[in-house]
Parts: sequence; structure tokens; C-alpha cells
Amino acid sequence: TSHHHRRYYLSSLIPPHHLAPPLLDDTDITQTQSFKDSVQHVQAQVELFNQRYQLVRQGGGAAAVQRHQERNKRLPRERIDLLVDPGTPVLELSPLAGTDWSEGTATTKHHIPSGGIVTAIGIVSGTPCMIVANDATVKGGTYFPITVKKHLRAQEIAMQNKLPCIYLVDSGGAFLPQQDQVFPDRDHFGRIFYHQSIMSAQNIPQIAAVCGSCTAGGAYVPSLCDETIMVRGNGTVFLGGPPLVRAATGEVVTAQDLGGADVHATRSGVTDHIVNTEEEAMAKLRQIVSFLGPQQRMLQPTLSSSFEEPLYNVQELEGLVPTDSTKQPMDARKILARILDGSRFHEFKKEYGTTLVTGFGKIMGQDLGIIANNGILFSESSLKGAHFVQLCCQRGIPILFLQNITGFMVGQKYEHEGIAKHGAKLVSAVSNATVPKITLIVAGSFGAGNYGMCGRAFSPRFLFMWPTARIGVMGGAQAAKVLSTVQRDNKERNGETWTEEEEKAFEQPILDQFEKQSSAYYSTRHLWDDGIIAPAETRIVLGNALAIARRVGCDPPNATQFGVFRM
Amino acid sequence: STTLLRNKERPNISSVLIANRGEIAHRIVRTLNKWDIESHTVHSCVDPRVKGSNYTHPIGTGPQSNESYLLGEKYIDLCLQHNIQAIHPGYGFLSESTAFAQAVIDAGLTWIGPSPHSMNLMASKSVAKQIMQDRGVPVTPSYHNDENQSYEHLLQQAREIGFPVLIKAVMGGGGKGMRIVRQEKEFLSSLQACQREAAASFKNDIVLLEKYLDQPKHVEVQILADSHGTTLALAERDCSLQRRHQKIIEEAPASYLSDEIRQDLWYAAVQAAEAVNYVNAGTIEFLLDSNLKSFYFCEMNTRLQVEHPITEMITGLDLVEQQLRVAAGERLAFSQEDVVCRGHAFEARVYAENPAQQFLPAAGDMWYCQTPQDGCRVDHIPDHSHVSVFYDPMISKVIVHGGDRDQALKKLVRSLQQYHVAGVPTNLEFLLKCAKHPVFSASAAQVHTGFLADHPLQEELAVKHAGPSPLSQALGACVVQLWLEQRLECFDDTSTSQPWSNRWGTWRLGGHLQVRKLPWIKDSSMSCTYQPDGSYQMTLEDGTSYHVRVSKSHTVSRNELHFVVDDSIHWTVTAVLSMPTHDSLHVCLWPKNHPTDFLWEFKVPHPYMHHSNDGEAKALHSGQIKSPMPGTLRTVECQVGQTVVKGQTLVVMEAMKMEHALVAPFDGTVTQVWSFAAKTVPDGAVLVTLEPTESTGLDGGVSPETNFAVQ
Repeated sequence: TSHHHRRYYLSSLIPPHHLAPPLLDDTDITQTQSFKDSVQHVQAQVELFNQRYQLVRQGGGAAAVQRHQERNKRLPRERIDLLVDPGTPVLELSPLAGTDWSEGTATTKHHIPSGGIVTAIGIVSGTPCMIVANDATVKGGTYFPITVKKHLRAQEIAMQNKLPCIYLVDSGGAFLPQQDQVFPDRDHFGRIFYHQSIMSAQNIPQIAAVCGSCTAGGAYVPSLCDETIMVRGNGTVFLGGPPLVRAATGEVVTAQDLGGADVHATRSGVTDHIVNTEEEAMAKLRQIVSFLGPQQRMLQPTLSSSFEEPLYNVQELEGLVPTDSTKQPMDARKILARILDGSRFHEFKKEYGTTLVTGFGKIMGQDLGIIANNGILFSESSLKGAHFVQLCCQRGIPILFLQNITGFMVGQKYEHEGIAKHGAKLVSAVSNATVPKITLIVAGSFGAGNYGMCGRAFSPRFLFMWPTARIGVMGGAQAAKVLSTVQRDNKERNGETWTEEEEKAFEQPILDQFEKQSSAYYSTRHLWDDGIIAPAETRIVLGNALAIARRVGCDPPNATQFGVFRM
Repeated sequence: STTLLRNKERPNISSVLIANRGEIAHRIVRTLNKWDIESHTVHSCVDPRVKGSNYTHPIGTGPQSNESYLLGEKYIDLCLQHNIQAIHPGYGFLSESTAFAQAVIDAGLTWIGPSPHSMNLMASKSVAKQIMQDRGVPVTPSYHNDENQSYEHLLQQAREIGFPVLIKAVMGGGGKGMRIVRQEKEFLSSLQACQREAAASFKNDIVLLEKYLDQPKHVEVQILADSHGTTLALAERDCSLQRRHQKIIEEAPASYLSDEIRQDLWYAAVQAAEAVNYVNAGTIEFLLDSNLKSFYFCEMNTRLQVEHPITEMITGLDLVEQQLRVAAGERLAFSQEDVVCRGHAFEARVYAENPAQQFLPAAGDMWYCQTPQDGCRVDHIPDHSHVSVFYDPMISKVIVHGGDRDQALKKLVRSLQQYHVAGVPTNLEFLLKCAKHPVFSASAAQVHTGFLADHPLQEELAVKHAGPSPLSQALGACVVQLWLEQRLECFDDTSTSQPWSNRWGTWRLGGHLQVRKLPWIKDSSMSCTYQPDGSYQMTLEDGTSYHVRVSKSHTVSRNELHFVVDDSIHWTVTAVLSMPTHDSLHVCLWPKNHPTDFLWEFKVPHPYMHHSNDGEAKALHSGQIKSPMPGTLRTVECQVGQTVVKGQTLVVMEAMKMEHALVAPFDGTVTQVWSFAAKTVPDGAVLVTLEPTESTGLDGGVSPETNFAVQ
């Protein structure tokens, strides 16, 4: 293999990455009761996730799917399967966006399966691409607020990672009853077209296949693309459909005559290719991608030909999540031992700021800097984290944030030693780091810890959650206690009394609210993440995400410009 | 003792031009190279250069034999121009042309073959027979008179000889220009066909009549004579396993013969050769009665035979070398006593032809060819790549030698099993069936020249090719999947699981399995479900389902895959795949040492390419009668407006040196007939368009491939 040919080897017998020692468990943890309890707990959670994913894969329900298929149309995931290279993985993003499970697995009126749009990264003609596919079985593929948000997020990922965009268009445009939430604001419908225009200018190819309707604003998706395909018969593109035309001008015209594939290929020039079937459309898309030129080829992920698997089965991650992860600690090194190649970890500042674990390792042969919580954040751990971020930036190594954080330490001692400014250093370093950042929330993601550990606001390239993860400004119990303390103070100031029962009754709705809003499902429903992943899939998801992300932002010279660190 | 036969001196010939092509050109070059004799070969405009020869020369202006390999004067010109001493004619083409031999000698060149005089005597079968009769060599009752060829007279003669009677073109050979007539009423049509073929092939339509022996055996003796009066018999060959007079598998010696009969046979052969002062290598063919005692002179082939290698195998001689020595005027370095036969040898002729379709000759590119690995000799066409439409469709000869007949036959079977050809249909499976036939494998004694007519093995093949078994379909589909996923080359590399690699068996979030519908043979389809471990669940349309995994053995070679079906059935399969057109795949599988199946072959639509013209391709018989291969239009037997009935001959084509009648697939009216001046038609040309008669209509399932019958 290639590493044998490198000259700077210390020893031809030991490849350098083997020089890092493996993280070894002291005892066989799989035999402990807490491990077994955790496995049971997590597997139930994973099972629930899979059930829900299975449901959203059925789109807008059996009747809608049948109508769709009767028109010789395929479901969005089937289209993606036909599009990507055979045998290659597909990384679907936020499949449970827009979903409301408040009434169990039954759907409610707020429930929009997968947000009505499937977004995924897949390999097309050897090139990683962002695929955005409308699901016409969900309310005709119209854009709800969550649909817009998910579409924009896919485009953001594409922009950050320089992924060619392939739009499989099948949408009736904006969802009119909620036009106020999808049309006017900055991050609303128009932003899709803004993104397309900007990306095309940045040499990020924009390609569309019109598989169904493409009405009103939606007509700009194919029109703004670099190269466009239309499926004869099913595909239509027009600013105003036949009913609107009739109402506006009295003209009576069929959808095909108004904006069918033949019209747009032969007269308007809105499309560049006509195909007869969706299968042909996908074949044509692969041809198009194969001619995206040298710039795209240079962005192919470079992969090492061989690497070690972790010493421990990745499945054992299920046994590491405490049944009550908000209270019980979780050993970050045990997680890393089940994710990293050969379980090898070159740890940095192991004895300093011990509540944050930092160091280097590899996932599927790809260099990675890791910042993992192992307790709450103190001043030292913040300083250590900021230092490590600078190392990664200087070296062009992507950073993985392994979040399990209840927050920064509070109290007089810590305020006096300046934990605010030390935490700010970490936040500032993380914000400005231009190397790829990937965040995985394994348990808690609370308070300012979320900021320091590269939460959504800090633009990680990808952010994934385990189904057991929780996210919020603080834990429900703490929030209830804070609010009830304030309330009690108010009452006591007014000379009122407050019984314990009253206090409990005051706290309960707060607890309930936080309980609901802290769940991974609530997060993924609102697209605060890029998807829930099962612990056992962590390695492959991170490996795939890293392969995409590190194509951009790792090359020297280091582009990171840090801000002023308050010393 | 074989070492005694081996000369140490180089034959006294400096350079040789081979006036031939294909495997025999190759084979002769090998001997020339062995003795460091300058070799010259020729190639027509469509043939590759013969590898290994010192010089290759283009010959002629066109691909047809009469525009290339039959241009005698060109060879002589080449020899004079390049100072080449001798010409070896090989077999076929000009090898038995007296005129050419004479011209070579007249030009002062050495002719590696018999004298034109003896060739001439043997060329006419009637003359040859008379000479043999005079010499006391037994001959069959017959009539041969070049002058009186009238139908009435010939019929009268046939009656006298007694049916069955064989009509043979006087100049014919190799199965051409020959007809068996069992009943008087068939006589006229057979005679005409024979004369027509003879006229076309030999420019001479004179025929002779001969008693047809029922169930005779074909036994021939290889003789070798020097120009110093020594004539030796180099043992006999049994070539009884024939199909329509084409030899299939030859063997040497005829192990069932008693020593006495064998001595008689050899003696008769030497007598026959001496009767015409024969010099060089030649073959005397005899028909041996089913009593294995009486034999009759049949004909003499005044050239090296296709099946000469089996004689080489048992005698240890290089016959081409001996030919060179004789031509150089050397004395034979051994006597009849030195000729000791060791062991037993077989030769199987591998042809590009389709046994399931009446052995229709085939042509085209062999995109995959794996010859048997060890313990056998394969004399094959250059590069093993292309079977030309213009010449004989023989691909190669598989030659094996063993201690006794059983051992040799086992070797033959093994070699044929290891011989894999994809791209053109071959008779390999048919050869294998013949070699494994219980009667044939028990003893050669029971196999007579009509054996295959009585045991039509090809019918089994036709049935098998009606449809591959469900399991073979599943494995074929699995190969397609592996290929699509680019895993064919790397499936044994199991240690790593790179991001975005196919090692994960098409990973999907949440462990969701991907199901793909594969368009498969004909109208059926198959679904393939990717398993997370990289295996597949293949489900056929009828619901049959197989779990298929490629096992990770490092011992298998590149094209050999080890499949484990349903965790219990293990298959080692040689699998190859090509993409003949942009939207179709051609998959060939050979299960290793499998007792019942030989080759599984699929032509399937590419699951990733679109098929806009599907409708056209799938149409039932359109009434267009198309040429099944490139060839020459011989006769058009219908005209526009004519009403024809199903089965009626519409057009007669000649291709691959055989006549093919294209018949009406249904009752109808001819609406169009090939009207171009050119009589050379490409593959798939619409020769006749037929409109069905109202009442019959198109009864579906009549595919163009089944419409022709070989005459």
C-alpha cells in the first residue's frame, strides 16, 4: 500500500498512525449490568427511530403513493436509488424533519413526512452530489416552512462542501395557506433561487430533472439550473398553470401545450434534454455529471486504501449511553475506542482540563481532531479546547465535536477566575475555524456548552444526533427550578405563601415543555440537526460525512483568521 | 523408440510460404520456427497477421477466398519476390489443386506435397477408384463415368447399385457436394442439389454414384512416402463420429481393430499410395463395415489432414517436419518397424456454430476465450479473437493424449470443460456431450458415421437453451450486480470499509435495504435486495428466492467466483461479462465441473441504461424475413404479390459455405423482395417482407431465429 513508499517514515515496520496507542477498556464492560440496561434502553430508542423512518419513507400515505405511481412516477427515494452509482451508500439528511409524533406514530395535520422533500448526498458518476428530491405524495410536493428550510439547508451543505446540486423537481410551489411563512422573509422561498444563482457563480453545478409539475416560483428551479432535463408527459414548467392563465387572460390551454417537455425543449429553451421516462432522466443526469469537468474531478474524495477497524464492535456504543444521560456521566474515551480506526488516539493535554478530551485519530483512514466532553466545561478545559482548535486549523485537520455537555461551571470561584472570557475563547476559536467541523450530539447539549462545542449556530458542516440525545438552553428540572425560585421570591416579596404542592404544579408544565422540546425528535423535526443516527451507524455516517467535508477547507495555506481572544 | 524417429538435422529447406490461414498456418509456423526455417504467411484484408511467423504478407484485394487465399499466382509472385524456397498449402484452399502444384513446380519452387500427377489421379474419385480396383484394394460397388451424366442414366445406375445410394461430386470433399438417397423418389431433387453445390464450389458438376453402406465406420490411414520409394503407414485414425459428414471427434488408433485387420488396412493403404507413386504425407480413407472386418477404399486425401495431430500424438512424429524433409528430397529416417503407436489420442474440432439451431455457423468476435489449462494441445486460430464470416468457422482443435483410450477420453472431457468461449456460439457443449456419451465412451467400435443421426444429442441442447434455470438466472443477475457495483475485481478485499465505498453493500440510513428491479431475460424481471453484509437476495418473478453471497476466498482466479447460495450450495463459477451495445449486457457463466450444465448465457438489458427502442425490439415477428448472418443471396424463390404458405422457401442464402433456406414464418403475401443489385447481404438485412393472410394472423412466439432450416 501507498504508505510504504513514503520516505519520512520512522520505521518501515510501524506506520505512523499505528504509533498512537489504542484506547483500551480496563475491564470487559459488556458484562456489567449498566451496560446491559443501556443496550436495552438504546435499542428501544433505535427501534422507535426505525419505525418512524419507515413511516416517513411511505411519503404522503398509501392513496397518494398509488396515485403517484399510476402516473408512472417513482417515489423520491426510488429516484435517488436509480440515480446514484450502484452499490454506493446514500447519506440521507434529516429524514424526520417536519414530523410530529405527538400522537404516537399516527400522523397529525402538522405532520409533514420528511418535510415533503428528500435530501441526500450520493455518488453520481463517481462524483459526490447533493440530491434534492421533492415528494409529490406529500401535499403535491408543495413547500411548507419546513420544506423551504430543509431545501435551504441542503443547499447550504452543498455550498459549504462544494457539492454539485441535483434537483429532482416535482412540486406545486409554495403551500398557499402558509404563504406568510414561506414567501417573504430572507430565508424563505426566494432564498432557494438566490442560492442557486450564487452556487452557479461559484462553479458549483446546478442540475435539474423535472419529473412532475414545477409551477409558479418553482419554475425558477430548472430555469436557474446550468443544465435541465424534462420528462415527457409528466414534467411541466410554467409560471402560471392553466387555471391561472384562464383566470388572468381567458386563454384556454392544456398543461402540456403550456409548459410540457416538448414546448420547453423546442421553443422556449427552458430545458436542454427531453427524456421519455424517469429511468432515462436518471441515466441522462449521470451523463451530465460525468461531464462536469476537471474541477469536479479534483474534488473527488481521496481515500486511503487500507485502515484498521476499531478494536471494539461499534455496536457496543449502545451500551455506553446511560439510561438517564442527563445525570449519569459517559466516558468519552470509550466512545472514541469504538469509532476510531484501530481505537487509536493521540491524546493532547490528557492531564490538563480533564473534563474535555482532545486529540487526534482517524476514521476510515481520514485524519481527525476530536474534542469530546467528559464532564462540564471549566476554564482549563475551555482553554485546552481553544488551543486544540488552533492546532487543527494550523494543520488543516477537520474537527469532530462529540457533545455531551450540560454547560459551563457556575459559581463565584469560576466567575472570578474568568470562566466567561475563557469560554468565550473557545466559542471564538470554534466560530472562526475554517477547517471542516462535524458535530455529534451523543447525550446532552445544554446551555453555552452547545456554543463552545459547535452547536448549530456555529455552522458545523454536519450535525447529527443519537436518538437518546437531548438539547435545550438548560435541563427541564433546572429551568423549572430557576423559574420557580424567581416565582417564590416574587411571592415572598409580596408576603404570599407558596406551598410545595403549588410549586410542583407550577413546575410541571415547565418540565413537560422542556421534556418535549429537548428531545432529539423535536430537534430533528425543526431541522436543528442533519438527522438522527443510530449509535451503531456512527462510524459509517461520520466516515462518509468526513470524506465529503474534508474536500474543502483542509488544504494549506491555513485560511483561518482568529478574532481577538480576551486574555 | 519415439526418440529414434526424431531427426537431429534441420530439414534442408531455407524458407517456406504458407498458402493458408487460421489454425493450420499457425501450426505450420510452429514447426518452421522449431527448425529455424524462415516462415512467411499471408493474410487477407479481414484476417489478422499470423503471429510468430517471420514475415507476413497481405494477399489479394478482397475478403472472399477467391479474392484472397485462392489466388495461386500471388503466392508464386511472393515467393519469387522474396526469394522463398517452398510453399506449404496446408489443407483446404489450394492444397488439392493440381494446377497450383504444377505452377509452383514450374516456377522452380518446392511444393510441399505430392506430385501433381498423383494429385490428379486421386482428385477424380472415379479415376482413383478404378486405380484401386486394379491394384487389388477393395472398393465399394459404384458407378463413375464422367461422360454420361444424364438423369435417366444415373437413375438406372443407382437402381443397379441398389438404394441407399450416395451421390458424390467427383471433385467434392469435406462433406460438400454429397447426398444420400434412400428412396428412388428423392433421387432427382438430391441430384440437382448436389450438382448445384458442386458447380458452385468446384466449378464441376460431374457426380458419381456409390453404394451407401449402412452404419459403416470411417477409418483412415496416414501414410508418408519419400521420393526414394519408401511408403510407410503411420497408423490409422477413426473418424466415425460425424455429423452430416463433418468430423466431430477423431481418435487414433482404432483400438477395436484386430491386429490382423489393422495389418491388412495398413497394407492396403500403402498399396493405394504406391499405386499412384505417391510422395509426401497423405491419407487413405476407408469405410469399415459394421462387422469391423471388411473395409472399402473410399478416397485419398492428397494433403495434410485437419486431424493429423492425433497421429502425431501417438507416433511422436511431427508430420509437418516430415513433409518438409520429404519435399527436400530426404530419405525417411525410419522404417515401418520403427512406427510404434503409444497410447491413445483424441481430437475435438471446436467450431463457431450453434448446435441448438441446427448447427448454424456463426461468426463474430470472441470477447472472452480461455483455453484448457494443462495436459492438452490446442491448435487455434490467431489471437483467439475473431471468427470471420468469410471462411471456415473452425476456432480450434483440442488434442489430448493418454495412456489408453479411457485416460485420453477423461482428459478430453476435462479439457472441453475448461474451454470457455464467449461472444460466438460454439459446439463445445455438444462436443462434451459427444465425449461423455455412454456408447462413445465405452468403445469406439459401436460408433458409426450415422451415430449422431440416430442419437441427436443436439436436441437436448436445444431444450436446455430454451431457458436458463432459475438458479443460473439468480447467479447471472448477481454477477451483473457485482459488475455494476464494481465489486467483481475486489470482492476478496474484505479488510476495509472505506467511506462511500461499495463494501457496505449499498448502505442506507437506518439499515434500510435497497431493492432494485433488474430487467432480465425476455419479459421477466428479477428483484435484487442488497443486504448490509454485501450479499444479495435475488427474487425471481415466480417468487423463487435465493440468497447469494460471493465468498471471500483468495484462491480463486480473476474470473472465477465462488458463490454460496442459501448458505449451503457452493458454486465455483467462471463469470465474464461484456457490454456489446450501450444498453445491453452479455453475461456468460461456466459452473466448474458441474455434471449437468455447461454454459449459462444471458443477454440482458443494462439496468442503468434507458431503452427507448424497447417497443421495436420486442415486437413479435413483423413479417420481415431477415438474413440470419452476412452471406450471399443464392436464389430468390418468390416475388412481390405472390401468396406463400408457412414453411415455403422464400430465399436461399449461402453463408459460411452452407446453403440456408429462409422460409415463410406464416401464410401470407409477399409485399417486398430484396431488390438491390448487390447479392452480398449483411446480417439482419430484410430480404422479404410478408403480410399475413387474414385468417392466420401472427401467432406470436415465432422468432426470426427459428425461421430458417438448413438444407
